[in-house]
Amino acid sequence: MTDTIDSVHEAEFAVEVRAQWRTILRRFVRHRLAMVSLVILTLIFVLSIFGKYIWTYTYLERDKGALSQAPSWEHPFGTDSLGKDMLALTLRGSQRSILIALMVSVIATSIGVTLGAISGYFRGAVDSVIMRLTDLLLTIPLLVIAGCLAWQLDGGGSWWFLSIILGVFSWQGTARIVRGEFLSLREKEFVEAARAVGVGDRRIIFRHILPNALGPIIVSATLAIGGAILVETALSYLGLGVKSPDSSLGLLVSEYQAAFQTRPWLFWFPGLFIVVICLCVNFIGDGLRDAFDPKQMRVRA
Amino acid sequence: MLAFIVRRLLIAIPVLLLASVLTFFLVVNSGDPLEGLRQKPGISQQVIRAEEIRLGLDKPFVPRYLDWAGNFFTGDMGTDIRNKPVWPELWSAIKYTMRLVLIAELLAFSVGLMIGIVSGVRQYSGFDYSATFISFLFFSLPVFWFANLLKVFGAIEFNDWLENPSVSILFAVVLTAFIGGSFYLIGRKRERLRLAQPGARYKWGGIALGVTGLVMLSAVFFFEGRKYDRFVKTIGSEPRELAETFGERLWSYVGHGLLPVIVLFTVSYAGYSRFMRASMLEQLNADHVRTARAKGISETRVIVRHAFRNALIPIATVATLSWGALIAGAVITERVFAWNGMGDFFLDSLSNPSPDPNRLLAFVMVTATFTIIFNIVADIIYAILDPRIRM
Amino acid sequence: MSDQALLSVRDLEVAFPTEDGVVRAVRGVSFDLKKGEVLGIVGESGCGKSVTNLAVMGLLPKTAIVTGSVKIDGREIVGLLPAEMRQVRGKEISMIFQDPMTALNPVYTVGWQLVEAIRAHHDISKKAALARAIEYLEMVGIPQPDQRAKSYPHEFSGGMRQRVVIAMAIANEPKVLIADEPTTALDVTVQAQILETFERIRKETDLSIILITHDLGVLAGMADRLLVMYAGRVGEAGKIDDVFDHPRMPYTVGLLGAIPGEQTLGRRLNQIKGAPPSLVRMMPGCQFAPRCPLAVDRCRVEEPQLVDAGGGQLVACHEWERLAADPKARAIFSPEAV
Repeated sequence: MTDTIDSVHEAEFAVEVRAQWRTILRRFVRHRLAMVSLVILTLIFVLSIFGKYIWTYTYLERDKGALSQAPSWEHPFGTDSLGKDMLALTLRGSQRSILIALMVSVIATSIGVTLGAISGYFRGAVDSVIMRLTDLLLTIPLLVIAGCLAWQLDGGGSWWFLSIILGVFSWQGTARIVRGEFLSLREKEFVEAARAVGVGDRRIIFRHILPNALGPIIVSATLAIGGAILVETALSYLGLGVKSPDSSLGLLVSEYQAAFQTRPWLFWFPGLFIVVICLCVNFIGDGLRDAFDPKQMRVRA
Repeated sequence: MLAFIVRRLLIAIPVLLLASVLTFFLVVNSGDPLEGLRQKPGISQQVIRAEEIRLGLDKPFVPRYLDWAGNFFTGDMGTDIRNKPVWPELWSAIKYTMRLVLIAELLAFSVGLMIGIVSGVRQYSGFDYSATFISFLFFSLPVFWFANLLKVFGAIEFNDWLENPSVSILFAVVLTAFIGGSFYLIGRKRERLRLAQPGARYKWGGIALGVTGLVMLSAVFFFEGRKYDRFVKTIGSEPRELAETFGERLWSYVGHGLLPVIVLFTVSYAGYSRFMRASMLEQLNADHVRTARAKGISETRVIVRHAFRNALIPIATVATLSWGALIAGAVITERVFAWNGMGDFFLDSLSNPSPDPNRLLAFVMVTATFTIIFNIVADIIYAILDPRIRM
Repeated sequence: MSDQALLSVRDLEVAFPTEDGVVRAVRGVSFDLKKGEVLGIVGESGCGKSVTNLAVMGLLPKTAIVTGSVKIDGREIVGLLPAEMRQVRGKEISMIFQDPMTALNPVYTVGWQLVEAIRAHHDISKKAALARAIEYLEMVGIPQPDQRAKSYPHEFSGGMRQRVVIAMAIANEPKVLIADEPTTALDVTVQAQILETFERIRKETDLSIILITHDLGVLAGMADRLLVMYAGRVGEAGKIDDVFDHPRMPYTVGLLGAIPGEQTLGRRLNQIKGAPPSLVRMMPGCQFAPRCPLAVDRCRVEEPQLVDAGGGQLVACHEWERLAADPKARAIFSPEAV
């Protein structure tokens, strides 16, 4: 009996959710800046992963005939003193940095959503404990935590360890947001209705409340990517993150910073890539936020 | 109010204790302090063993923690690997960093707030879009990259200019035209909104044009043949030679501190301006603001006394979040500009060549303490700003 | 000239440009308000009753396009410069809103907010303004007004807050008070108190009141005249007893029939089927036609204008005479009919 009522309830619910998503998608597409950012970001992403199959040079090759060259047709980003192609190096660094950032966001969001949901739904003692934990972890800056734990890793397979550390210690923002959403959503009538029919807690959380909180979660996850890139590249720059022979945009910047005045192209490109990736992620996040927010009303002035 | 503060302080103590456990855990896992020593040729096992005992490396976690905590919370921060006391160096580092951070934060706060307010009041205007774009840019700027950029353009290039300053005629003309044009457009907009008399745009544009033109013209002639010292410094926090007068010292501080402050400014500015903008937007659509407008008071008063005053309430939260980012920023900035502040202290403690537990512990605990104190201050500010919380 | 209208609105139109098109919220509204009169405005959500009055106050966003005429005491206020409008707002015409819980600024004391309202229009000292504020708090029935003036809004109940809001609105002795759903967010008992406050103030100061509501019961005891709005226009207007006794527009009939009462005991309430029309994509003809049981072809082509239905009652309906002649007029919406 409970099952049938619940499935009817769910069927109606599913229809409503589908219509909502179409509206949200429509609103996102209208956001020109976000769309442009999405295109650029996808381009960078694809290039960084498949670059080695597309581009003529790999990051290891040393073109002896073209040492320390300024950008040219042959080497659009120039070369360094060993003849290595800057474009290939930058793409490889981006690949690493983007991958790490994505992993960090996934980990942080998963933990944040789980803890935030539990905290907001069950309230009481559980909520207090989780919130104290959040506060506690916020007393020490992420850079310091990650620096302590990750600096001793050697280059090579260490990037996933770095991602885990960063992910495990940066879920606080998401958790707060999700908690807020759950605190308000649990009071809504559809939750009361579900509970009255006898739906269990876990089902309510995952099938009823969570889909409604998806908006802020997606926005948070997107913005977390930007934050993660900045932290990872900063750590790598300081020598505390990704290390040689592995690559990262931060590492590239630190390697070539001395050369800035004489061979600026070596310094500009890795940094610009970080800026562009972050900007795109932030614009997309902003576009998503606008798309999910029902109160947005833009009046043609 | 006093009860409020006392309560907050009491809660802070267990938090501090827990933070110390977390800190200890971090430091213990940060690597082997004797790695450098082990790799040195010719050091006997006995010496290594003695060092291990001295540093407490032979004990398991809990007794080792209790040993340290017992000392630390009674005021003894211990000595570092080279047997130098930790506190004096840390204290000196704190002073340098706080100097930087406080100035940068103050600037970011005031400028961010003002721009956020205007952005919110003039939503979707040209100003709003540019301000928003700049905020986004600062959010996406890697501190280490920007710091280096500033080092070259803000210092080296600028100092080069100072040695042989000149203002090109082209630049003067373009700037004058730009400023004159912008003010003309502003005047025209005001006319259209009927906030100014017809013809005002010519007055605005004309005056702007004239003033800028005069300034540029005098600049062109003024700088001919002059020469200045290289003012902006990129290394260190103080002049190496003893400066003579107070004025010279002050000037020197500014020269050394200018770039690091600018870098740290970009770290927290965007948070404030975006927050203020969002908060203002929320307030401007609020019921009580509608009531205020219905009373017939001036729009300025509505914006400042009603919208802004309420928009300000959650700002303490932004400030506390800023702090973490600022420390991270300080770590990087101090490395780039060779300041001997907390950030440098941290990096030094971490890999020189191996982690120094007592120094690290002291650093992290101080940072955590600052955070906790700032949180309490934030709560207090919240209560001051919002009478509903005081009860 | 005691018959001269105090507030005179003619052909008021308000449009908002939005992403989805131009929303015509008010499409030609005209009415008069005499001194000391209470005018009730009713209608469904979205019929334009609030927007009309916001336009009168000049409180619409800058993007709103307002045309037509609004005259207070003979003075035209549509098109005034913002600075000039501010002198009218809060002094000659005041407005209060629906939700008293959020209507007041939470960070200032009640006294401070009243003083601000008073000093915006009178050049008097803070002390004098405060004394005056306390007088008005007393007038609206706040006990111990001198103490309470130092309290913050969150220390008052909903009903008390609404009284404070009323005090703030009348502190400058306006000629017209517009009350937009003042009792909707309050309990029934508190509602009665607020209405009683209105009545008392009106007797003491000869204030004219525009009472906007969707609750006809509120108007029954208070209003002199009634304006029924639908889809941005006036559907019917007249003395309240006239309209209640013999409504000339089907929509009004429907509204009246939907009130639960003695005669509806044991029977289903009449409902007007269908939903209010979209104000962006408007069809030609009368906007009520899709839901009207008396609609004929003419109704779907030509939008009716206000005509005199006798005795000062105005109605905008092509079929009003048919409705007036039918003894079973009140039953056109009952579930048994049709």
